[in-house]
Amino acid sequence: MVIETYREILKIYGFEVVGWSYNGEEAIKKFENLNPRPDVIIMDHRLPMKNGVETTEDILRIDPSAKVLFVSADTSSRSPALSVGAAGFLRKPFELKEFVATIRQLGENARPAAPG
Amino acid sequence: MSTASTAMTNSMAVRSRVAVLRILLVEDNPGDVRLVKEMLAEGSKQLVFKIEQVDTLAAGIEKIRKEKFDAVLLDLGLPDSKGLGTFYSFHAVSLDLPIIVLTVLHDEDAAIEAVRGGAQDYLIKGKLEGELLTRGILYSIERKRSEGVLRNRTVEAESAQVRSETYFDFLAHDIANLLSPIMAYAELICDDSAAPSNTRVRAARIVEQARRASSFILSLRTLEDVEETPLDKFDIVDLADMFPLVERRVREEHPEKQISVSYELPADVALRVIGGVHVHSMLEGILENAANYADSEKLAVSIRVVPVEEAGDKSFWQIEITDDGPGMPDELKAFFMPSGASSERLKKGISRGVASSLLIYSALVGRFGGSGWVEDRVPGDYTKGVKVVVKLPRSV
Repeated sequence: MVIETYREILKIYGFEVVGWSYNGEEAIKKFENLNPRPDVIIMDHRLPMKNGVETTEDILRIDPSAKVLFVSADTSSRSPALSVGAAGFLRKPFELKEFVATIRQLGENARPAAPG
Repeated sequence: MSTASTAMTNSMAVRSRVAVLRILLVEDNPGDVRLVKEMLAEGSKQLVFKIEQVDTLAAGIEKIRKEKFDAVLLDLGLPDSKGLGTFYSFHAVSLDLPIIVLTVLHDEDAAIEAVRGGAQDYLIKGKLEGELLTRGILYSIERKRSEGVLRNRTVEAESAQVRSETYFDFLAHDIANLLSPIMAYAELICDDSAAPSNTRVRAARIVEQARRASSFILSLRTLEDVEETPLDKFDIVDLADMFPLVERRVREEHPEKQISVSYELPADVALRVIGGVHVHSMLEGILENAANYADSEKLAVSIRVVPVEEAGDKSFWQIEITDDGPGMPDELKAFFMPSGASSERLKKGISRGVASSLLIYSALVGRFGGSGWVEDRVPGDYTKGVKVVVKLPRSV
Protein backbone atom coordinates (compact mmCIF):
# COMPACT_ATOMS: atom_id res chain seq x y z
CA MET A 1 0.00 0.00 0.00
CA VAL A 2 2.69 2.46 1.01
CA ILE A 3 4.79 1.75 -2.07
CA GLU A 4 1.77 2.16 -4.36
CA THR A 5 0.96 5.47 -2.67
CA TYR A 6 4.50 6.75 -3.13
CA ARG A 7 4.61 5.68 -6.76
CA GLU A 8 1.36 7.45 -7.50
CA ILE A 9 2.34 10.61 -5.65
CA LEU A 10 5.81 10.76 -7.14
CA LYS A 11 4.35 10.41 -10.62
CA ILE A 12 1.84 13.22 -9.97
CA TYR A 13 4.66 15.48 -8.86
CA GLY A 14 6.64 14.74 -11.99
CA PHE A 15 9.20 12.21 -10.74
CA GLU A 16 10.01 9.01 -12.57
CA VAL A 17 10.03 5.90 -10.41
CA VAL A 18 12.68 3.65 -11.97
CA GLY A 19 12.38 0.74 -9.58
CA TRP A 20 11.00 -0.44 -6.29
CA SER A 21 11.43 -3.31 -3.93
CA TYR A 22 9.71 -4.76 -0.88
CA ASN A 23 12.84 -6.00 0.84
CA GLY A 24 16.40 -4.88 1.49
CA GLU A 25 18.27 -7.68 -0.27
CA GLU A 26 16.32 -7.19 -3.47
CA ALA A 27 16.71 -3.41 -3.28
CA ILE A 28 20.51 -3.76 -3.27
CA LYS A 29 20.47 -6.07 -6.31
CA LYS A 30 18.13 -3.77 -8.18
CA PHE A 31 20.21 -0.73 -7.35
CA GLU A 32 23.37 -2.44 -8.56
CA ASN A 33 21.77 -3.25 -11.91
CA LEU A 34 20.16 0.11 -12.55
CA ASN A 35 21.80 2.16 -15.26
CA PRO A 36 21.75 5.04 -14.87
CA ARG A 37 21.50 4.96 -11.09
CA PRO A 38 18.51 6.73 -9.52
CA ASP A 39 18.96 10.32 -8.30
CA VAL A 40 17.22 9.57 -5.02
CA ILE A 41 16.44 6.35 -3.15
CA ILE A 42 13.52 6.36 -0.71
CA MET A 43 14.20 3.86 2.06
CA ASP A 44 11.97 2.46 4.79
CA HIS A 45 13.55 0.93 7.89
CA ARG A 46 11.54 -2.12 8.90
CA LEU A 47 12.02 -4.29 5.86
CA PRO A 48 12.16 -8.06 5.48
CA MET A 49 15.58 -9.71 5.04
CA LYS A 50 17.70 -6.65 5.71
CA ASN A 51 16.62 -3.48 7.48
CA GLY A 52 16.82 0.00 5.99
CA VAL A 53 19.99 0.98 7.81
CA GLU A 54 21.87 -2.12 6.62
CA THR A 55 20.48 -1.72 3.11
CA THR A 56 21.57 1.94 3.05
CA GLU A 57 25.05 0.92 4.15
CA ASP A 58 25.32 -1.63 1.34
CA ILE A 59 23.99 0.77 -1.27
CA LEU A 60 26.48 3.44 -0.22
CA ARG A 61 29.25 0.86 -0.40
CA ILE A 62 28.29 0.22 -4.02
CA ASP A 63 27.93 3.93 -4.77
CA PRO A 64 29.08 6.40 -2.14
CA SER A 65 27.37 9.27 -3.99
CA ALA A 66 23.90 7.68 -3.76
CA LYS A 67 21.30 9.90 -2.07
CA VAL A 68 19.19 7.88 0.33
CA LEU A 69 16.13 9.56 1.82
CA PHE A 70 15.15 7.56 4.87
CA VAL A 71 11.42 7.50 5.66
CA SER A 72 10.27 5.58 8.69
CA ALA A 73 7.65 5.57 11.41
CA ASP A 74 10.36 4.22 13.69
CA THR A 75 11.92 7.38 15.10
CA SER A 76 14.71 5.42 16.74
CA SER A 77 16.06 4.62 13.26
CA ARG A 78 16.81 8.30 12.57
CA SER A 79 20.21 8.50 14.15
CA PRO A 80 21.59 5.15 12.86
CA ALA A 81 20.28 6.02 9.38
CA LEU A 82 22.02 9.38 9.33
CA SER A 83 25.19 7.96 10.82
CA VAL A 84 25.57 5.35 8.06
CA GLY A 85 25.22 8.14 5.52
CA ALA A 86 21.53 8.61 4.64
CA ALA A 87 21.12 12.05 3.05
CA GLY A 88 17.87 12.81 4.87
CA PHE A 89 15.24 11.48 7.26
CA LEU A 90 11.48 11.96 7.33
CA ARG A 91 9.26 10.56 10.03
CA LYS A 92 6.12 8.84 8.78
CA PRO A 93 3.46 10.07 8.40
CA PHE A 94 5.03 13.11 6.72
CA GLU A 95 3.51 16.03 4.93
CA LEU A 96 3.40 15.65 1.21
CA LYS A 97 4.91 19.09 0.58
CA GLU A 98 7.87 18.27 2.77
CA PHE A 99 8.32 14.89 1.10
CA VAL A 100 8.25 16.34 -2.39
CA ALA A 101 10.46 19.29 -1.48
CA THR A 102 13.05 17.01 0.14
CA ILE A 103 13.23 14.69 -2.86
CA ARG A 104 13.51 17.65 -5.19
CA GLN A 105 16.33 19.13 -3.16
CA LEU A 106 18.22 15.83 -2.96
CA GLY A 107 17.68 15.27 -6.67
CA GLU A 108 19.11 18.67 -7.53
CA ASN A 109 22.19 17.95 -5.49
CA ALA A 110 22.63 14.53 -7.08
CA ARG A 111 25.60 14.02 -9.37
CA PRO A 112 25.02 14.07 -13.12
CA ALA A 113 24.02 10.67 -14.48
CA ALA A 114 27.03 8.52 -15.31
CA PRO A 115 27.57 8.10 -19.04
CA GLY A 116 25.70 4.98 -20.13
CA MET B 1 4.54 -26.94 40.38
CA SER B 2 7.65 -28.16 42.16
CA THR B 3 8.55 -31.79 42.62
CA ALA B 4 7.91 -31.61 46.33
CA SER B 5 4.38 -30.33 46.17
CA THR B 6 3.48 -32.67 43.32
CA ALA B 7 4.72 -35.64 45.29
CA MET B 8 2.90 -34.52 48.40
CA THR B 9 -0.36 -33.83 46.61
CA ASN B 10 -0.32 -37.12 44.73
CA SER B 11 0.48 -39.13 47.79
CA MET B 12 -2.20 -37.41 49.79
CA ALA B 13 -4.74 -38.27 47.15
CA VAL B 14 -3.99 -42.00 47.15
CA ARG B 15 -3.17 -42.54 50.77
CA SER B 16 -6.03 -40.65 52.29
CA ARG B 17 -4.23 -37.58 53.66
CA VAL B 18 -0.93 -39.29 54.47
CA ALA B 19 1.96 -37.58 52.72
CA VAL B 20 5.02 -39.56 51.75
CA LEU B 21 8.21 -37.55 51.54
CA ARG B 22 11.19 -39.04 49.77
CA ILE B 23 14.37 -37.96 51.45
CA LEU B 24 17.89 -38.53 50.18
CA LEU B 25 20.37 -38.83 53.01
CA VAL B 26 23.98 -38.27 51.92
CA GLU B 27 25.91 -39.39 54.98
CA ASP B 28 28.81 -41.81 55.46
CA ASN B 29 28.84 -42.14 59.23
CA PRO B 30 26.82 -45.28 60.13
CA GLY B 31 25.95 -43.86 63.56
CA ASP B 32 24.46 -40.69 62.12
CA VAL B 33 22.65 -42.64 59.41
CA ARG B 34 20.98 -44.82 62.02
CA LEU B 35 20.11 -41.83 64.17
CA VAL B 36 18.47 -39.88 61.34
CA LYS B 37 16.56 -42.96 60.16
CA GLU B 38 15.25 -43.61 63.66
CA MET B 39 14.16 -40.04 64.16
CA LEU B 40 12.34 -39.90 60.86
CA ALA B 41 10.83 -43.32 61.24
CA GLU B 42 8.63 -41.92 63.98
CA GLY B 43 6.98 -39.62 61.43
CA SER B 44 3.43 -38.70 62.32
CA LYS B 45 -0.13 -39.64 61.40
CA GLN B 46 -0.05 -37.46 58.29
CA LEU B 47 3.56 -37.95 57.35
CA VAL B 48 5.75 -40.83 56.26
CA PHE B 49 9.42 -40.40 55.37
CA LYS B 50 10.93 -42.71 52.83
CA ILE B 51 14.69 -42.52 53.13
CA GLU B 52 17.35 -43.45 50.62
CA GLN B 53 20.90 -43.26 51.86
CA VAL B 54 24.26 -43.05 50.09
CA ASP B 55 27.83 -42.66 51.43
CA THR B 56 29.46 -40.30 48.97
CA LEU B 57 28.86 -37.05 47.09
CA ALA B 58 29.28 -38.87 43.77
CA ALA B 59 26.67 -41.47 44.71
CA GLY B 60 24.31 -38.71 45.89
CA ILE B 61 24.59 -36.82 42.63
CA GLU B 62 24.09 -40.04 40.71
CA LYS B 63 20.98 -40.76 42.76
CA ILE B 64 19.23 -37.43 42.23
CA ARG B 65 19.86 -37.65 38.52
CA LYS B 66 17.91 -40.89 38.37
CA GLU B 67 15.23 -40.51 41.03
CA LYS B 68 12.96 -37.83 42.39
CA PHE B 69 13.28 -36.62 45.97
CA ASP B 70 11.44 -34.07 48.05
CA ALA B 71 14.48 -33.01 50.07
CA VAL B 72 18.14 -33.82 50.67
CA LEU B 73 19.98 -34.12 53.97
CA LEU B 74 23.57 -33.47 53.05
CA ASP B 75 26.56 -34.07 55.32
CA LEU B 76 29.40 -31.70 54.43
CA GLY B 77 32.15 -34.12 55.41
CA LEU B 78 32.09 -37.05 53.02
CA PRO B 79 34.83 -39.46 51.88
CA ASP B 80 35.05 -37.82 48.45
CA SER B 81 34.35 -34.18 49.42
CA LYS B 82 34.82 -32.01 52.49
CA GLY B 83 33.34 -28.73 53.66
CA LEU B 84 31.46 -26.06 51.72
CA GLY B 85 32.56 -27.53 48.39
CA THR B 86 30.32 -30.51 49.09
CA PHE B 87 27.30 -28.26 49.20
CA TYR B 88 28.18 -26.25 46.09
CA SER B 89 28.90 -29.36 44.04
CA PHE B 90 25.59 -30.87 45.03
CA HIS B 91 23.56 -27.67 44.72
CA ALA B 92 24.90 -27.01 41.21
CA VAL B 93 23.18 -30.13 39.90
CA SER B 94 19.99 -29.88 41.97
CA LEU B 95 18.93 -26.23 41.95
CA ASP B 96 15.25 -27.04 42.48
CA LEU B 97 15.78 -29.40 45.39
CA PRO B 98 15.61 -28.23 49.03
CA ILE B 99 18.91 -29.04 50.75
CA ILE B 100 19.41 -29.25 54.50
CA VAL B 101 23.06 -29.26 55.41
CA LEU B 102 24.26 -31.51 58.23
CA THR B 103 27.39 -30.40 59.96
CA VAL B 104 29.45 -30.87 63.06
CA LEU B 105 29.52 -28.18 65.73
CA HIS B 106 33.00 -26.85 64.94
CA ASP B 107 32.09 -26.34 61.32
CA GLU B 108 28.94 -24.29 61.79
CA ASP B 109 30.42 -21.39 59.75
CA ALA B 110 30.52 -23.52 56.63
CA ALA B 111 26.90 -24.49 57.18
CA ILE B 112 25.85 -20.86 57.53
CA GLU B 113 27.77 -20.07 54.36
CA ALA B 114 25.90 -22.89 52.60
CA VAL B 115 22.57 -21.35 53.62
CA ARG B 116 23.75 -18.04 52.16
CA GLY B 117 24.64 -19.91 49.00
CA GLY B 118 21.20 -21.47 48.62
CA ALA B 119 20.73 -24.25 51.18
CA GLN B 120 17.34 -24.10 52.93
CA ASP B 121 18.57 -24.88 56.41
CA TYR B 122 21.35 -26.49 58.43
CA LEU B 123 21.31 -28.83 61.41
CA ILE B 124 24.15 -29.65 63.76
CA LYS B 125 24.87 -33.32 64.26
CA GLY B 126 24.89 -34.16 67.91
CA LYS B 127 22.12 -31.66 68.52
CA LEU B 128 19.60 -33.45 66.37
CA GLU B 129 16.24 -34.46 67.65
CA GLY B 130 13.19 -35.85 65.91
CA GLU B 131 10.82 -32.92 65.92
CA LEU B 132 13.53 -30.43 64.97
CA LEU B 133 14.57 -32.60 62.05
CA THR B 134 11.02 -33.16 60.82
CA ARG B 135 10.16 -29.49 61.06
CA GLY B 136 13.42 -28.54 59.37
CA ILE B 137 12.62 -30.77 56.41
CA LEU B 138 9.02 -29.54 56.08
CA TYR B 139 9.97 -25.87 56.32
CA SER B 140 12.75 -26.36 53.81
CA ILE B 141 10.37 -27.91 51.29
CA GLU B 142 7.89 -25.08 51.82
CA ARG B 143 10.55 -22.37 51.55
CA LYS B 144 11.91 -23.84 48.36
CA ARG B 145 8.40 -23.98 46.94
CA SER B 146 7.67 -20.30 47.70
CA GLU B 147 11.04 -19.37 46.24
CA GLY B 148 10.00 -21.10 43.04
CA VAL B 149 6.62 -19.34 42.98
CA LEU B 150 8.32 -15.99 43.48
CA ARG B 151 10.83 -16.75 40.76
CA ASN B 152 8.06 -17.76 38.36
CA ARG B 153 6.16 -14.57 39.14
CA THR B 154 9.22 -12.46 38.46
CA VAL B 155 9.80 -14.24 35.17
CA GLU B 156 6.12 -13.83 34.25
CA ALA B 157 6.17 -10.12 35.13
CA GLU B 158 9.30 -9.59 33.09
CA SER B 159 7.94 -11.39 30.08
CA ALA B 160 4.62 -9.52 30.36
CA GLN B 161 6.58 -6.27 30.28
CA VAL B 162 8.57 -7.32 27.26
CA ARG B 163 5.35 -8.40 25.55
CA SER B 164 3.59 -5.13 26.23
CA GLU B 165 6.59 -3.12 25.05
CA THR B 166 6.73 -5.16 21.86
CA TYR B 167 3.00 -4.77 21.22
CA PHE B 168 3.20 -1.05 21.89
CA ASP B 169 6.11 -0.64 19.52
CA PHE B 170 4.36 -2.67 16.86
CA LEU B 171 1.13 -0.72 17.26
CA ALA B 172 2.79 2.69 17.30
CA HIS B 173 4.94 1.92 14.29
CA ASP B 174 2.24 0.38 12.16
CA ILE B 175 -0.42 2.97 12.90
CA ALA B 176 2.01 5.74 12.01
CA ASN B 177 2.83 3.81 8.85
CA LEU B 178 -0.83 3.37 7.95
CA LEU B 179 -1.50 7.05 8.51
CA SER B 180 1.05 7.81 5.84
CA PRO B 181 -1.10 6.98 2.77
CA ILE B 182 -4.21 8.41 4.47
CA MET B 183 -2.47 11.73 4.94
CA ALA B 184 -0.89 11.68 1.50
CA TYR B 185 -4.15 11.03 -0.35
CA ALA B 186 -6.04 13.60 1.69
CA GLU B 187 -3.31 16.13 0.95
CA LEU B 188 -3.54 15.32 -2.74
CA ILE B 189 -7.25 16.14 -2.64
CA CYS B 190 -6.54 19.38 -0.75
CA ASP B 191 -4.10 20.43 -3.45
CA ASP B 192 -6.33 19.41 -6.33
CA SER B 193 -7.70 22.63 -7.75
CA ALA B 194 -10.22 20.66 -9.81
CA ALA B 195 -11.86 19.23 -6.67
CA PRO B 196 -14.97 20.98 -5.25
CA SER B 197 -14.07 23.36 -2.47
CA ASN B 198 -16.10 21.59 0.25
CA THR B 199 -14.39 18.31 -0.68
CA ARG B 200 -11.03 20.03 -0.26
CA VAL B 201 -12.08 21.41 3.13
CA ARG B 202 -13.10 17.94 4.28
CA ALA B 203 -9.85 16.47 3.04
CA ALA B 204 -8.00 19.15 5.03
CA ARG B 205 -9.81 17.88 8.14
CA ILE B 206 -8.64 14.35 7.42
CA VAL B 207 -5.08 15.65 7.17
CA GLU B 208 -5.47 17.54 10.44
CA GLN B 209 -6.83 14.50 12.30
CA ALA B 210 -4.18 12.19 10.88
CA ARG B 211 -1.54 14.70 11.98
CA ARG B 212 -2.98 14.76 15.49
CA ALA B 213 -3.06 10.98 15.66
CA SER B 214 0.55 10.90 14.55
CA SER B 215 1.70 13.45 17.12
CA PHE B 216 -0.21 11.58 19.83
CA ILE B 217 1.66 8.37 18.99
CA LEU B 218 4.91 10.30 19.02
CA SER B 219 4.15 11.71 22.50
CA LEU B 220 3.42 8.27 23.90
CA ARG B 221 6.67 6.99 22.45
CA THR B 222 8.47 9.95 23.97
CA LEU B 223 6.96 9.20 27.35
CA GLU B 224 8.13 5.61 27.11
CA ASP B 225 11.66 6.67 26.11
CA VAL B 226 11.88 9.25 28.88
CA GLU B 227 10.83 6.75 31.53
CA GLU B 228 13.60 4.39 30.45
CA THR B 229 16.39 6.97 30.20
CA PRO B 230 18.54 7.82 33.24
CA LEU B 231 18.13 11.43 34.40
CA ASP B 232 21.74 12.44 33.81
CA LYS B 233 21.32 11.75 30.10
CA PHE B 234 19.00 14.74 29.64
CA ASP B 235 20.29 18.16 28.63
CA ILE B 236 19.95 21.22 30.81
CA VAL B 237 18.16 24.02 29.01
CA ASP B 238 17.33 27.68 29.59
CA LEU B 239 13.61 28.39 29.57
CA ALA B 240 14.18 31.96 28.37
CA ASP B 241 15.71 30.61 25.13
CA MET B 242 12.72 28.40 24.49
CA PHE B 243 9.76 30.72 24.91
CA PRO B 244 10.31 32.72 21.67
CA LEU B 245 10.73 29.51 19.63
CA VAL B 246 7.63 27.96 21.14
CA GLU B 247 5.64 31.14 20.60
CA ARG B 248 6.69 31.36 16.95
CA ARG B 249 5.84 27.73 16.30
CA VAL B 250 2.31 28.04 17.75
CA ARG B 251 1.68 31.21 15.74
CA GLU B 252 2.74 29.37 12.58
CA GLU B 253 0.44 26.49 13.40
CA HIS B 254 -2.52 28.80 13.97
CA PRO B 255 -2.34 31.55 11.38
CA GLU B 256 -6.12 32.00 11.75
CA LYS B 257 -5.81 33.14 15.37
CA GLN B 258 -4.56 36.38 16.85
CA ILE B 259 -2.37 35.20 19.68
CA SER B 260 -0.81 37.71 22.04
CA VAL B 261 1.81 36.53 24.51
CA SER B 262 3.10 38.55 27.45
CA TYR B 263 6.02 37.59 29.68
CA GLU B 264 7.00 38.08 33.28
CA LEU B 265 10.40 36.49 33.79
CA PRO B 266 13.01 36.95 36.54
CA ALA B 267 15.75 39.24 35.27
CA ASP B 268 19.51 38.60 35.27
CA VAL B 269 19.28 34.90 36.04
CA ALA B 270 19.46 31.84 33.81
CA LEU B 271 16.23 29.81 33.97
CA ARG B 272 17.98 26.50 33.77
CA VAL B 273 16.09 23.20 34.11
CA ILE B 274 16.72 19.57 33.26
CA GLY B 275 14.81 17.86 30.44
CA GLY B 276 16.30 19.05 27.15
CA VAL B 277 14.10 18.85 24.13
CA HIS B 278 11.23 17.48 26.22
CA VAL B 279 10.83 20.75 28.07
CA HIS B 280 10.56 22.44 24.71
CA SER B 281 7.88 19.98 23.51
CA MET B 282 6.06 20.34 26.78
CA LEU B 283 5.88 24.14 26.56
CA GLU B 284 4.86 23.85 22.95
CA GLY B 285 2.19 21.31 23.90
CA ILE B 286 0.72 23.59 26.57
CA LEU B 287 0.56 26.57 24.23
CA GLU B 288 -0.67 24.44 21.36
CA ASN B 289 -3.42 23.12 23.58
CA ALA B 290 -4.50 26.63 24.53
CA ALA B 291 -4.64 27.59 20.85
CA ASN B 292 -6.51 24.42 19.86
CA TYR B 293 -9.21 24.90 22.45
CA ALA B 294 -9.57 28.67 22.08
CA ASP B 295 -13.06 29.25 20.75
CA SER B 296 -12.59 32.82 19.60
CA GLU B 297 -10.15 34.33 17.12
CA LYS B 298 -8.25 36.13 19.81
CA LEU B 299 -6.23 34.41 22.48
CA ALA B 300 -4.23 36.16 25.18
CA VAL B 301 -1.53 34.11 26.88
CA SER B 302 0.69 35.23 29.71
CA ILE B 303 3.84 33.36 30.67
CA ARG B 304 5.29 33.90 34.10
CA VAL B 305 8.25 32.22 35.78
CA VAL B 306 8.85 32.47 39.53
CA PRO B 307 11.42 30.85 41.80
CA VAL B 308 10.03 28.48 44.46
CA GLU B 309 11.98 27.20 47.45
CA GLU B 310 10.89 24.08 49.31
CA ALA B 311 12.02 22.27 52.42
CA GLY B 312 15.21 20.25 52.07
CA ASP B 313 17.04 22.86 49.99
CA LYS B 314 14.94 22.14 46.93
CA SER B 315 14.55 24.99 44.50
CA PHE B 316 12.33 25.07 41.46
CA TRP B 317 11.33 27.29 38.59
CA GLN B 318 7.56 27.53 38.53
CA ILE B 319 6.25 28.21 35.04
CA GLU B 320 2.70 29.54 34.84
CA ILE B 321 1.06 29.67 31.42
CA THR B 322 -2.31 31.40 31.60
CA ASP B 323 -4.82 31.75 28.77
CA ASP B 324 -8.23 33.36 28.40
CA GLY B 325 -9.72 30.42 26.50
CA PRO B 326 -12.84 28.44 27.44
CA GLY B 327 -11.30 26.93 30.61
CA MET B 328 -11.43 23.45 32.06
CA PRO B 329 -13.98 21.95 34.49
CA ASP B 330 -12.65 20.92 37.91
CA GLU B 331 -13.17 17.20 37.33
CA LEU B 332 -10.82 17.36 34.36
CA LYS B 333 -8.30 19.48 36.23
CA ALA B 334 -8.08 16.73 38.82
CA PHE B 335 -6.24 14.54 36.34
CA PHE B 336 -3.28 16.89 36.35
CA MET B 337 -2.90 16.92 40.11
CA PRO B 338 0.54 15.78 41.15
CA SER B 339 -0.62 12.67 43.01
CA GLY B 340 -0.82 9.04 42.02
CA ALA B 341 1.07 7.02 39.45
CA SER B 342 1.34 8.67 36.06
CA SER B 343 0.15 5.56 34.24
CA GLU B 344 -3.00 5.45 36.37
CA ARG B 345 -3.73 9.10 35.71
CA LEU B 346 -3.11 8.63 32.02
CA LYS B 347 -5.49 5.69 31.91
CA LYS B 348 -8.27 7.51 33.73
CA GLY B 349 -7.68 10.76 31.90
CA ILE B 350 -7.62 9.29 28.43
CA SER B 351 -10.84 7.38 29.02
CA ARG B 352 -12.45 10.70 30.00
CA GLY B 353 -11.13 12.50 26.94
CA VAL B 354 -8.74 14.81 28.76
CA ALA B 355 -6.31 16.54 26.39
CA SER B 356 -3.83 13.72 25.98
CA SER B 357 -0.88 15.98 25.22
CA LEU B 358 -1.29 17.74 28.57
CA LEU B 359 -1.58 14.42 30.40
CA ILE B 360 1.57 13.13 28.78
CA TYR B 361 3.46 16.28 29.71
CA SER B 362 2.30 16.10 33.28
CA ALA B 363 3.75 12.56 33.38
CA LEU B 364 7.02 13.84 31.87
CA VAL B 365 7.34 16.58 34.46
CA GLY B 366 7.14 13.95 37.21
CA ARG B 367 10.04 12.08 35.62
CA PHE B 368 12.22 15.21 35.85
CA GLY B 369 11.47 15.62 39.54
CA GLY B 370 8.88 18.34 39.14
CA SER B 371 5.13 18.53 39.19
CA GLY B 372 2.34 20.14 37.23
CA TRP B 373 -1.27 21.09 37.69
CA VAL B 374 -4.07 23.20 36.25
CA GLU B 375 -5.87 26.11 37.94
CA ASP B 376 -8.59 28.56 36.90
CA ARG B 377 -7.33 31.84 35.49
CA VAL B 378 -10.08 33.52 37.53
CA PRO B 379 -10.29 31.52 40.77
CA GLY B 380 -13.71 29.96 41.20
CA ASP B 381 -14.83 30.51 37.60
CA TYR B 382 -13.55 27.78 35.36
CA THR B 383 -15.07 29.26 32.21
CA LYS B 384 -12.62 32.16 32.05
CA GLY B 385 -9.51 30.27 30.99
CA VAL B 386 -6.86 28.06 32.56
CA LYS B 387 -3.53 28.50 34.23
CA VAL B 388 -1.21 25.55 33.59
CA VAL B 389 1.49 25.40 36.24
CA VAL B 390 4.69 23.41 35.80
CA LYS B 391 7.30 23.25 38.48
CA LEU B 392 10.73 21.98 37.44
CA PRO B 393 13.83 21.61 39.60
CA ARG B 394 16.36 24.40 39.05
CA SER B 395 19.62 23.31 37.52
CA VAL B 396 22.91 25.06 37.97
